[in-house]
Amino acid sequence: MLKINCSVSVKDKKILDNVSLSVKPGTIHVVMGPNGAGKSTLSHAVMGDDRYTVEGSIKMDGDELTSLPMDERARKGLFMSFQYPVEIPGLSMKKFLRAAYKSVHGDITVMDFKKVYDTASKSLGVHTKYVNDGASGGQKKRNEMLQLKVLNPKYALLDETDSGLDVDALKVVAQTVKDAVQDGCGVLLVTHYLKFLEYLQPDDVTVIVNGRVVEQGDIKLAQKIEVEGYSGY
Amino acid sequence: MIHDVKYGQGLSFDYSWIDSVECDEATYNVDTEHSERMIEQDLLADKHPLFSKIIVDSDKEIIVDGSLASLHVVANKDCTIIIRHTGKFTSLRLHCDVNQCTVNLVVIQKGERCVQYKTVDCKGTINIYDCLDQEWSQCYNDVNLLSENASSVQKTSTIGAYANVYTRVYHHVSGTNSIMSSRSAVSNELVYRGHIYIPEQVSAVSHQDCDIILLNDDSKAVALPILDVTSQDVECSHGASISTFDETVVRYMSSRGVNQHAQKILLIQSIKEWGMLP
Amino acid sequence: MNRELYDKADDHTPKFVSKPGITESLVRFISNQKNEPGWMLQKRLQGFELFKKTSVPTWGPDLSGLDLNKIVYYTDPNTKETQNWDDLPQEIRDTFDKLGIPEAEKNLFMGVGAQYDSNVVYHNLHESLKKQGVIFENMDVAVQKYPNLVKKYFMTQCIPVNDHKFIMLHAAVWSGGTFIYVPKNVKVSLPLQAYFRMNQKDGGQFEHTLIILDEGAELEYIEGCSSPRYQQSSLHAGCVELIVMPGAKMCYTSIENWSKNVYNLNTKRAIVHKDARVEWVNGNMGSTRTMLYPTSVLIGEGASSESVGIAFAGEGQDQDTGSKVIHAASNTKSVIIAKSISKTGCSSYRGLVKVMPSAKNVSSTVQCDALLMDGGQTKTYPYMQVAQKDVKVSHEATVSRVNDDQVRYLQSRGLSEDDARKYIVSGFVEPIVRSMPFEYAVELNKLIELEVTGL
Repeated sequence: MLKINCSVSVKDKKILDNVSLSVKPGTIHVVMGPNGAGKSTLSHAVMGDDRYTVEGSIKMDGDELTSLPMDERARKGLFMSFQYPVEIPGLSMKKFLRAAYKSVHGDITVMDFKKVYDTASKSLGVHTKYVNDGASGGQKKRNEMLQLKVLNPKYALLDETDSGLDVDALKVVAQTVKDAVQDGCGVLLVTHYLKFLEYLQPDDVTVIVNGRVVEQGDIKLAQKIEVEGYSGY
Repeated sequence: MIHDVKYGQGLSFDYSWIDSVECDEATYNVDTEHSERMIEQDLLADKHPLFSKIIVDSDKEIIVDGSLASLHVVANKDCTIIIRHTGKFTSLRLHCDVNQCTVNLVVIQKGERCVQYKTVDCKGTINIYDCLDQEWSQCYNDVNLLSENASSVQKTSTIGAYANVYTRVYHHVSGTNSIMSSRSAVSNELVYRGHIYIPEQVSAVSHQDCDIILLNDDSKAVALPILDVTSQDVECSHGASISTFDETVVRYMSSRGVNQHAQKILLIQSIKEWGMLP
Repeated sequence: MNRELYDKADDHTPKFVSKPGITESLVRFISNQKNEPGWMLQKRLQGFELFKKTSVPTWGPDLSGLDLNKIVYYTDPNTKETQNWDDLPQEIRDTFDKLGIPEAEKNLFMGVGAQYDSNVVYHNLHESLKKQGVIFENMDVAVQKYPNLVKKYFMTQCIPVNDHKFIMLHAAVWSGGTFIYVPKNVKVSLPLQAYFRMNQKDGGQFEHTLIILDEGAELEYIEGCSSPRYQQSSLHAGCVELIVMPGAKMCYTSIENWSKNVYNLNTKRAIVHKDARVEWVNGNMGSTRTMLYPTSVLIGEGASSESVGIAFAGEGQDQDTGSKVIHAASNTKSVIIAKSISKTGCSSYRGLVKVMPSAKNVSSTVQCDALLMDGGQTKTYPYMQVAQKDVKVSHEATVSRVNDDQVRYLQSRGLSEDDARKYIVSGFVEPIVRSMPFEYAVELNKLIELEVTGL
């Protein structure tokens, strides 16, 4: 279980106030909220971005994460799909992912890794040479999903992974998330569109407005938001 | 107080390394040295009058008569300043202080030979639009960005026969940004130099580009865009190109029935207009 | 792998070490030792006269730490040139073994030469090439054996004696180096290699490389350089002349990994004839000051040139490198790609693209990228001089640093910060490394890793 119970601030400015939620393995927990509610801050803070100060506790399967650097958290099985993946020209995706795979799962031979990588990239229809170099927004998101598939984490934070995608890409991304969940991965999905949820069946829904949790519930809550919006909070 | 800037500091730039290659063919040199010597003499003689100070609070057109002029313009409010300088041989020294405002600066010189040295101490935003369309012209710009958020745009369009352009920007403090952009159509000879200087500990964003189009068979051009970066926290790039007309442009214009001569004229006009666009 | 492999001095006692400083009698002595013909002595003396009159160039990096009166200009190692590694004195043999040269010869090259201080100690060429008329000789020997070729091309049309201060010096005291002649239409399938080792304290190395490719010939040549680290500075002022005849193809790769107190003031130039091609691949890792601008003079129609380079500037290093191209004929093409990493040191790109009035339909692209780390410094001086309108000349440059977002991204995938930086840097140099022969690419990658992660 990924248990989040914390406040987050940037340069003494509080962004999230006493946010408390948990993600069970093999389930999808959706975090919704209007622009500027602090949703992206949540996923960055949980991943361990050092620009954010966290007070409180973030526990993964009983282990306290708050004092750990980003890479440690990744090695423990945490993953984040970035809203704006960076480009690294010249660094090959395969080489980079093998290095990541090795640090998360231990050594793997080039040949064995090639099999894992090729299967994943084929199923996603991704053929990228360098890390996101020159890729479109949609391609970058597919690349993120490729990494999710290959690294096979225990918990995944998906930060607006659905934004800017066309229907086909949306389906591919949704399928990848479903597969991961079936394999027991707990997913924290940050979004402010309901459309994506048509493809996924979230188990829990949390609504954040102005840095505070205003309501928690199940899929029905999301449907309510779809009709009423956030203005009621 | 006029910032301590020596006009054309770059005069001391040493070109000797360029000529360390001998070639079978007669070595070809653009005569930068000659024109620079001229300026040097001009400076040594220092025939320019003393700087006359003008404080500008709103849009203003300044008419300058006579060959040699020195102006010190102080701008405290957002404004557009147009300076018209006419004479047979015009040489203008201009120093401009920009204090917490946005200034658009346009200098229009008329005459057979035109020289302008401009220095700007900028604590705001300065946009310089230079259009060198004289037979023979030289343009030296030094921009000092002195306060956080100071920014500069230097747009230089050159369509004269002989031109020597040297634009520089010095990022004194962090949080400054600059753009230098130059487009030229050269019928005879052009020397373009651009210089970006970002010292240690200064974080800045700076871009520079320069496109030169050669019009005639005997047109010559030299481009030397310099980057001088000691700071780590920068985003900096430059590019330069020298070529003849873009083929696709030529094809497009031809398909509309425009002949070669008219194409040249259109191109020159487009560059001139580009230079005046904000 | 560590820096010590290159930096540690060997315990070799040379046969002869000249007194520091240069005099006319030393110049005559060197010529006499080599039993040279009169014209070569004249060339040396001419160089020496010009050298005395010329001042040290001031437009580039600061050379004030170089005291030309303290340099030992000639050091004769205590051995004869051989074709068998086993004949070498043990300590010299050990050095080359450690550097992996004899091992590489077996697998990768068709010929290897090795120079130790002023003289070549080992030279060998594959039998099959000898039969095809390929000449691969010590430059000193070539002066004796092939006087006609040498006299015609040695510091005449490609790099004349009066070119610049350090070429004048080179002409006066040059010693050793490589002479290669590849006959018409002979294509050498595997590369030839030369390794230059400078061991003498305060020493200078002035090897001369002259390569002539006859019409339609092809050759790949690789040179590696290293030296131990002493307190005082040493000087390397080599000279490389390539004559690439019509239709020939030459690829010249060099990895210069001098220790960090060497002044590497090197000159490399190629004369490229009709439809011929030259490729320069350069890695500059070591030395305190580097001034090196491999030059292609494209004098024949359809000639082309490509130059790729990577420079690394660490603490106290000033890497002033770049590339020059002279387009002196129509339909010529050139490409220059230069990358530099400045980690506390300074690296400059200084390049020249010159298009002669008579050269039509010329295209040239220059791309240089600088990566800054830990307070490094970078300068870019791309000079373009065009006297012909029928051209496409372009230049692009960027300056960037190792981006915190990139590091964070990699860290989020479980890489340590150091590893993240390493990967980003290796991604930055990847396009250059890709164009190198495999073994060298591996070595270069390791060297960069070594430098980036700190010694």
